[in-house]
Amino acid sequence: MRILIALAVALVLPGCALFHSMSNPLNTTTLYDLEAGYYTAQQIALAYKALPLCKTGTQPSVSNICAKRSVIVSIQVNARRAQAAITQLRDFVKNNPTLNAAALISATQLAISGFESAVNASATPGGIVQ
Amino acid sequence: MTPLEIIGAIEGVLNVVVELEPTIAKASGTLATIAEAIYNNIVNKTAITQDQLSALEMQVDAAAAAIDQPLPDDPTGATQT
Repeated sequence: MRILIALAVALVLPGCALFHSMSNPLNTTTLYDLEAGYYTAQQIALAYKALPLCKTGTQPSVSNICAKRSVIVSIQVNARRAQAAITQLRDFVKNNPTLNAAALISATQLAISGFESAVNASATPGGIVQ
Repeated sequence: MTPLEIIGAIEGVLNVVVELEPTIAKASGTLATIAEAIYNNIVNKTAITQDQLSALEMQVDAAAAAIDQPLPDDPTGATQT
């Protein structure tokens, strides 16, 4: 079980071979890999958002575990972009199953990378991933 | 680097995450299902089904909605960065 969980977490690790080893840009597996990586990052974002907000004028630290409002807002902005890109990709693949979706996949990966970068900002003292 | 070495390295990272944040551990049940599907696809060459994809898409959409929920106002009224 631990190995399976580790594989899921691997999807959001920088340079992960699993995430970047897609060969066919059209199949169900490609979409699944893409969305699984996004979903894993979403779970980290939700865990961070569940922390108590930092009080005004305080910084997160080991003794003051809290979420910065600005980080959450940045996560939300990037999440909207990533979600829009994924929705567009889903629709394209659904409506054009035989056309090459490589350009849209690249755009979606870029949007998800932006989201993951925003999530990585939670990796500060007091954040969830240290 | 062998697959086992990669998994070992990932486990090291995961242990830190789980120790620090119980919420991540709670999410691990769902993540394990996803990871299992990916593992079976890579190792056992099992195709991802449309049902599996649809289920994941619903989870992604639900998580996106939860992330997008507005934050409560700062009770002090001051701006916090």
